[in-house]
Order: sequence, then structure tokens, then C-alpha cells
Amino acid sequence: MLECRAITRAYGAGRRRRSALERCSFSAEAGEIIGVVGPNGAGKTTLLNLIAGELPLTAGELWVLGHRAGTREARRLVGYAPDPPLAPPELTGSEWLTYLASHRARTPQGRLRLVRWAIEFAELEDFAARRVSTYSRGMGQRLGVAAAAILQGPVMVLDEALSGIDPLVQRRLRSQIAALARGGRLVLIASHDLAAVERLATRVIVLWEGVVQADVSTARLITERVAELTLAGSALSHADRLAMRFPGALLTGQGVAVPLTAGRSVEEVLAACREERIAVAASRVRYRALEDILVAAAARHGVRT
Amino acid sequence: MKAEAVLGMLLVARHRAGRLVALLAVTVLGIAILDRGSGAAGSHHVLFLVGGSLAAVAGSRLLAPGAALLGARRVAGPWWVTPAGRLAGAMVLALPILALGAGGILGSPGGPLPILRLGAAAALQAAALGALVAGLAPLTGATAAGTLGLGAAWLGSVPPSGVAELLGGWEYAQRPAVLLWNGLPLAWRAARWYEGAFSGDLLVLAGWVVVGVALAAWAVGRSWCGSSSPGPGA
Repeated sequence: MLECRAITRAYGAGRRRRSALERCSFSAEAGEIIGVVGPNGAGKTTLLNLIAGELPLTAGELWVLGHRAGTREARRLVGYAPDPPLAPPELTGSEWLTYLASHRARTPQGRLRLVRWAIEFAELEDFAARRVSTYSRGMGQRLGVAAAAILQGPVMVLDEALSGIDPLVQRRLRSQIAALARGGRLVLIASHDLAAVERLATRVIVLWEGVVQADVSTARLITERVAELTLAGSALSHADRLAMRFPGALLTGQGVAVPLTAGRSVEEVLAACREERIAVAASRVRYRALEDILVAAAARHGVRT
Repeated sequence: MKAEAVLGMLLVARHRAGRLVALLAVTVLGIAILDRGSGAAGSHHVLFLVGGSLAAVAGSRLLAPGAALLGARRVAGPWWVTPAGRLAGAMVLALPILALGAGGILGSPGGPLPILRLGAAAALQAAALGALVAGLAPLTGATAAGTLGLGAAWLGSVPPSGVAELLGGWEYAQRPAVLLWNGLPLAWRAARWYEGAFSGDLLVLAGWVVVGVALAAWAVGRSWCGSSSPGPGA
């Protein structure tokens, strides 16, 4: 459904050239929910803009259902909720949705049905009749998601669409988006809210300085475990020694997180601590989190975490 | 088409620039109508000025970068529907002002025909200028396009001969400026048609409506539109 082949987006030329996205390749199928995460400036918004056809590629190929991204045909297949959300401030939420629906439904009844569906989908009932200029950030995000959904395209691209939304509405919206994906849509969502992405996405792409650092299925995350050790007092200064002993281990604020991969057990890690005479104040085993992958990417780039 | 026309109306009528220029237009027309008794010649030029100003501001809102443009880029339909529909919506708002203005400026002595002719000339010139500004807005931004449109509306009553006279000392600038003045859908052409009924003028103005709509459709549908620098969330 979506095919990215070594896509690059660069700004400037010569010595001033800066790549926002560098040779990024992946493909995605209907029914997937792909989370795109990374720090500020990682290239998330650029990637989504390229898929939505709002920016031209510098190099590479990007196909949306067999259409080259950016063409009229490809753009119409993509429902896009940019960040910040875009809706004319002069209009009410329902006027904007009615306009968008009129291009998908031929009859007034069909249009009305579609608008009602979108309002329910993003829970806009309380403020759909108000002007967009009076919306809070969360309300605007919800209208943006509804606008992306109402276009009924097979691909939905959501940029920070869940931020600023209260936790209960966000939870229901996540399940609505998941239902759309189950119905055959491909959803791409960029977010800094790693917990929300973990709960919603079936697959996560981690970007760092425009380069794909990891492309993992969230189902795989919960098959991997991490031993998190809290080190007491002076033992903290030996944390890096411990991290070096276990490949893939990461320093945390209070100690070390050691991935329990390749048959490694927590007992083995604790035995190593005893051997190194490092006092462990507390230990716990948890599932591997998206944050671990992001922190590992940061560590590879020498960024303090 | 209807949805685009309704959106065009809403985008103009609900924006403060649209309301302010309408207020200004009504005020200027009011003064021109009150001044009618003095028998000032060429008072019909005021209507072209008002029509052009209304069209410039309205045109700049129809496909302004942001939600208006993004919406146009996401919806399906023939290439001309979005710009033509939105322009029609904006003209629905401008037409009553122009019709009442034409009636007020000319009064009843000549019968309805001169009023119709003046109203039609002003509406056609406004539509041509509005379409051109709407086509420029996605490329230059709404403010720049609106400013260019307002400039054209305000200076457009000067005929090409006047431009040639003004630039008499600068031969290199004179020729292109006169050519430009002859080509653009400016008020002098609409006034000439009203005064002398040269049908070529009507054709040129109508042609500019088509060119403006086509430019707008191209600007909306081109494979990318955008900044040359990454946004804050890049």
C-alpha cells in the first residue's frame, strides 16, 4: 500500500545542505498502524509531509497505492492531520467537516451521515458548532483527526494528533483509530507520546537525525524483557562498568537497564553485580519499552539521556 | 461546486479583512452616491475601484496557504471546480454591493440598461482580478497576493496612455509597463467597455477569469507546495 524507497528530503545546497530525511526505506500494508517517533528535528513531520504529498522528495521513490506521492491521485488517497491542526478559524467545526464530506458523499443525507460519523468518531459533539478560532489545542487536534478520517482515504497520516487531548478521550480515540485500521486503512502517526504510540501502533519507526534507527513491531516489544537495576550511593559510579559488561545495556538515572536477550537472566545480571562488588538497592524486570529503543539510539549518537 | 461556493462565501464573509473592505466599499460608494448631485464626471470609476478592492481581498482568502489551501488539495473533483466554485461564492457577496452601487451612482434617469452595463463591467473586472489574486495566493501568500490585487485595483483606472505619459523619461520601463497595463484585467478596460462598448475588452476580461481559475487550479494541484526550509517540527 505504501512504499518508501531510499527517500531523501534535503534543504539548501552545497555546504548549507541539510538532510531532514536521509535514504529512508520501508513499506506498509493496509491494517497497519505505524508510529513514527524520534526527538525534535528527527524528520517525523518531514516524513509525514512527504507521504501526504505536501513536500517534494529530493531523492528516492514514494508510492501510495501505486501512485507517486505528491500527485493529485496520491494526495486524494491520504487523509492528513498536520500539526498544528489546520481548519479555517472563521468556520465552525461542523461547517469544515460538511465541506470535506461534500466531496465524498453525493447526497445531502449521505453528507449529513458522514459528518455525524466524524463528529462521533472524534467526540466533537460539545463544540462542533463553535468557531474553530475558539478551540483549545486538544479540540483542534480532534477536529484534525475527524477531518483526516472523513476524507475516507485508505491512508491516514496523523502528526501529533493525540497530543493535548485528555487521557480518557485519547483512549477512546485510540480505539476508534484502531477500528479504522482493522477496517483496512493504513494509519501513520507521529508522536512524542511514546506510551500512546506503544498502545496504538502495531509497528514503530524510530527516526534520528533523518535516519531510520529502528523499525520494530510493538508485538515484539512485549516479548523482550529488561532488568532494571537501581544502584545505591557510590555504586552508581560503577554503573558504566556494568553497562559495558552487558552489550545493549543502558544507563538510567538511578542505575542500569539490561536487556534480557540471548538467554540472559536477571540472576545472571545480579551475579555479575556481586562479582563486581556493586551494591544493588532494588531490581525489577519489565517489558522492553519504546523509550529503551529511543534511549539506545540516543546513546549511539553520544547524546546524554 | 455548491460546497466550494459556500466555503468561498464563508471564507470571505467571516474574515475580518473581508468585512473591513466591505465596510470601506459601502462608505466610498455612499460618498460617491451623495456626490452624484454635483454632476462629477467619471464617478463610475469609483465602482471599479470598489469592485477591484473587494475582489482583491476576497481572492486572497479563497486559497490562502493553510486550511483553505490544504482542504482544496485533499478533495476530489475536476481541476476547475475548487477555484471556480470559491470565486463564485465570493462574487455572490460582491454582486449586491456592485449592483446597488451601480444603481446609486447612475440613478434612474437613463433607465436600467446603463446600470446593468456598469454593474456587469464592474463584476466582470472584479471576477478577473479576484481569480488572478486567488491563483497567486498559494504561490506568494495571501498577504502579498492581496496587496498586489489592491494595488491593481487602486491604480487600474489609469489608462495605458497615462502610464506611458508617467514613464515618459524612462523608455526602458515605459514599454514593458504599457504592455503590462494593456494585458492585465484593470479597471480602465472595464471603464472603456462601459463608456464605448468595445467588445474586445469584455473578451479580455472574461479571458482573465479563465486564466485566473486555471492558475489557481494549477497552484492548488501542483505536486508540491511549500517552503524551502523545514518547519519547526521537521
